Amino acid sequence: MSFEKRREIVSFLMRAMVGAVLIYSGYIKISEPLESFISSILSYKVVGENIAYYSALILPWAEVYIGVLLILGLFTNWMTKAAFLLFCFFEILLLQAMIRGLEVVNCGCFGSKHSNPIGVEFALNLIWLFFIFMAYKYSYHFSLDKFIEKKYNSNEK
Amino acid sequence: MKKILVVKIITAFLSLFLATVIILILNGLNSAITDNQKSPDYRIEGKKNAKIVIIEYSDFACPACANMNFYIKNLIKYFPDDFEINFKHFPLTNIHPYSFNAAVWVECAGVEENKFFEVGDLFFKNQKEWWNNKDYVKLFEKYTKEAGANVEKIKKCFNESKTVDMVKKDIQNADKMKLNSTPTFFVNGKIAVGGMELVEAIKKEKGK
Repeated sequence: MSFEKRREIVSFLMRAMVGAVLIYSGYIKISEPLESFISSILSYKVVGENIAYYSALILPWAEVYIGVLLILGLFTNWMTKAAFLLFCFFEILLLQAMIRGLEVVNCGCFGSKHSNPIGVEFALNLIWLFFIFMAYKYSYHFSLDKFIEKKYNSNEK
Repeated sequence: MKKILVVKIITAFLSLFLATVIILILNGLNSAITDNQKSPDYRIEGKKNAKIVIIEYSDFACPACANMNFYIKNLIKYFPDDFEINFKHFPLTNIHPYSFNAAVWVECAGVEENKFFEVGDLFFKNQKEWWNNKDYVKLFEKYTKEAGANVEKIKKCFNESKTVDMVKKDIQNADKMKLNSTPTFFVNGKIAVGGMELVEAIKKEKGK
């Protein structure tokens, strides 16, 4: 197997892993009390209660939907960009909390029952960002995007 | 090109719809869980056998539980005849390192001195001070004294781990029901996860 082929497979696996992580973290938040996530968001001391409320409503579903589309490989280009922005946003939140020395009881990353120290989450997110970059660059061959494009392009011919 | 885009949009819409349905079904399955087992007397507040019986799984180190504790106190204050509140322990030790010990300590306050809520309320009130503090025992002693309970008696009970099994029993129950967050309530047997669902469940029961 050529290096390119192996890289495509690995990139696809990376994309699937990021998708699975997003689905899992979204699902956990959806199944937990809304106020748990709201209090996690508020502990970063960046937004007020109103924004925290709407973020807690929307963000978990956004994570699930981006995760599903990433795994399937639909709109892969857009979804990898969206996931990249999402993780960058998380990184900024974590970084400012570390710099300001905020006492974040629960990072809110995987609901209220699972939480890593924010430094660990920051490092983990860097790995996910790398995975997303690889998925963006090389995972097209294992995607529904390619399957659909190939099918309808050949039909048109 | 347009056709490809349309097919992609339809496929994406269908898969997201399916994901939404699956998640809603999984969440709905939780609502089939029920708990009617009452707590020991010293862990019950309000009027016994009231119209609305609430079982509360709580963690002394959880911020949302501290907020809900305040809400529940008000429920009992303003509607003393309408509610029976049963407290159960569900310390989330993987994120709150001393919450299990806190539960054991407050349980001792209930067993030894019948001051479960007096001490427990102070644990909630001062949560930020002790939840991640290595000197938590000293702080526990301070709150116990403040609540007017016998510190030595409770400390002895705590050191002898007398109430560990009682706390563990609640945790095992919670685990059996696959509860994964605090506070989780059962309002007349029906699950309500978090404060917002609790308020809705109470409204429903009151309307009956």
